Amino acid sequence: MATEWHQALKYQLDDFLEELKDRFHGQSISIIESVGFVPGAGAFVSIEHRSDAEELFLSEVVIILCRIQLDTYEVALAGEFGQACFVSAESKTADIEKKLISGVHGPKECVFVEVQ
Amino acid sequence: MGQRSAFLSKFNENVFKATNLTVQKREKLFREHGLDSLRENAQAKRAVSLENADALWKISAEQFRNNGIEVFFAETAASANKFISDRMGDAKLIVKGKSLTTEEMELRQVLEEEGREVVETDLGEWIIQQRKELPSHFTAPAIHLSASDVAQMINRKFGENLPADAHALTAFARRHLREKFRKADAGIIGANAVCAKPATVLSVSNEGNVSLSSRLPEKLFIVTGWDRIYDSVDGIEGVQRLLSASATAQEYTSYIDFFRKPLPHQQVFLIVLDNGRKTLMESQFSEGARCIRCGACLNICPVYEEVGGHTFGKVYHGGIGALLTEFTGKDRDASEIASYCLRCKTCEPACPMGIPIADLVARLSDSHSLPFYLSLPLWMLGRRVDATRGRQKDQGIGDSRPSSVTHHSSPVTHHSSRSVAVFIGCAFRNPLMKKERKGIGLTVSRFFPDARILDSGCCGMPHFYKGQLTAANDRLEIIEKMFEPFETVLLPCSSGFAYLRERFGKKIQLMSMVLAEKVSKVDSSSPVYYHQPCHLKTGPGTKEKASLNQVITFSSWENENSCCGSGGTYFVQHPLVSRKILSRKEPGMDGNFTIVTSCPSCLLQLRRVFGKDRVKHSVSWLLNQQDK
Repeated sequence: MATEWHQALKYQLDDFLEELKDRFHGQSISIIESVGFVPGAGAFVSIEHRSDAEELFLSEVVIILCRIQLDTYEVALAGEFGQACFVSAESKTADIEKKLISGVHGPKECVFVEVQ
Repeated sequence: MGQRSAFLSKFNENVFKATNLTVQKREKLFREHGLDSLRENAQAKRAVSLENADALWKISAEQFRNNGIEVFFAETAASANKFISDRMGDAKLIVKGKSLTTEEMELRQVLEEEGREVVETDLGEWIIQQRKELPSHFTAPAIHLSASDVAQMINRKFGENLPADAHALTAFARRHLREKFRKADAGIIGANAVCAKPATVLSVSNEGNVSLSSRLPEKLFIVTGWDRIYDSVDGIEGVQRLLSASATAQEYTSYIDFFRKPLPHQQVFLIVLDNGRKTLMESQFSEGARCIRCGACLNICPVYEEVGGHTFGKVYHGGIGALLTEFTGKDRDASEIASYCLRCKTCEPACPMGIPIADLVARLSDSHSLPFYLSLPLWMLGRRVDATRGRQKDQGIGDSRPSSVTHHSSPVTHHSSRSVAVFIGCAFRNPLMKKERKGIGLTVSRFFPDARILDSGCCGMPHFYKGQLTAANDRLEIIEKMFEPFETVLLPCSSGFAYLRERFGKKIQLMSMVLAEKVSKVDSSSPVYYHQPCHLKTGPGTKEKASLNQVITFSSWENENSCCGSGGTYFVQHPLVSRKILSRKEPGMDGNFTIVTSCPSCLLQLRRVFGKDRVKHSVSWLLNQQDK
């Protein structure tokens, strides 16, 4: 699966991230802290600098840490931000014969980690 | 592209497969996630936002400006292009997201003529840019191409030797475009929505190209239409979910980007294009301004799925494309696009914004001239209606009662104690429908002995859908007076039923559905299939099959709901397209069988491939079965 959800409840977060890094060995990996996540819409990530966008969209694997659950989409948008993005899956396309392909421009894999 | 080349195009099978797959996925998603429940609020939000667009744009523009975003309201495509060109400065490399508004402006071409390199970054859009084509779909611009077509293009243009494999082709595009993102001087994206409170731009994508095009370059141009405004972020999720679900059969795209301020390294410009949108919003076609460009109407359109987008020759396609082209197109001429619309209304249930597309196209066609081979028969239909006034003799109706008692052909009615009438309709005056006409008369004698037969020609539906609104309204006035004394009027013609039901309500009933309550169960030795006329895909007519199922056990036919391509006079105007649509009805049946339908036009069309003995009108066929 190109998009996965994990709970880090039973792990020390750092150990868990090391496990993930081992799993994606050889690929560029970014670890991103989200503002929170909204069921369905995905992780809400604030983008404050160009480098934030590079980390979120140019790595082959993105691991997004979700510490807070936001009740609704509107709650996320009610917050202060300059630019932001809901991320619910990896970069994908079906533009050629409707075949779903992951990693067309951005990450080929996206892992969401629910941290409590 | 002319009709013949459209018909013969090898690309159309790709379009047919892709649109059908999307429709299946969309219907499943809507059904399983109950997304229809979002429609009411989303439509209300859209309506109130459009009504207050002026004020909302003022509020949002002030906030954006305070946040450091330059806002420019452009009356025309040319003024928008000039503003962007001026602000581009010495930018050489520009990465661009998919945007129909910028296609409408021909922005890429303008910037390329200035010597800049403009790279489309949506994969489908990049592919058609290399092929120097227009998008063939609102949301899937390369829907007409196979992997083999894409491989040939890349191998020829970039000297590669790639197989016709979507993975390999996409990987090449990723490598090729990655450096463009990194080095670009400017980015251009479209906006799906702009909320006024707080001022926020929303843009959805799956590929991530919008996110990259908008965040990496130093200059960002966000181009949007005047009609993209919404009052606030509250409730915008519902609109976005409907958009994504209708467009690509997913509730949430991989990325939903929001913009309120520039990033520290950025200059951001918001360009709001009018280019006819305000005129559309203030016109009698204002419902069309609710369009959110999801393309759901295209995916389900029987014409689009056969001919693809390029046949329309414009940026916007299909029925809604006719409307958008008339108001925002380069030459404001939508007569040819409008002629391709079947007026079948198949698109209307799919439209998340509830736009009555077929009716709008019909009204739009009022300003278009009809070819003589259509205007002449329509004129004759209207004339014939007048000629029937006062006619009392039996016109072939098989009613055994004295015609002077039962037939009522004058629009000037005298009040009657009878509460039921049967309006025969013009289609049954066709000599090819003689048997059906007689069968309807006999049915009335046997099952509706107290009903009065109204045999006064046409209801005006053919005039309405061909844009002859004056003639259509004249007919409606006559019909209204004619129907006034009756509590119930039965119509054997499903198209006339659907048209008049919308205008006169429950008083209008489909004859087959009422008849099904009165006849005994039919025991057929051979399979009986049901053909659903397109005009029964909405409203109470959708229950016709369920009604008939009380007395007929229909055999399963996977093509029962697909359009036959008749469209009244469509098979005369676009015979090749009509025949191609009809060909989709053919597979799946062998041996002896009967197809039952309530639409006279569908009946004649289906007989062209199945023969006249196999296609029957629901009313006359039910009657014949009672006597077996």
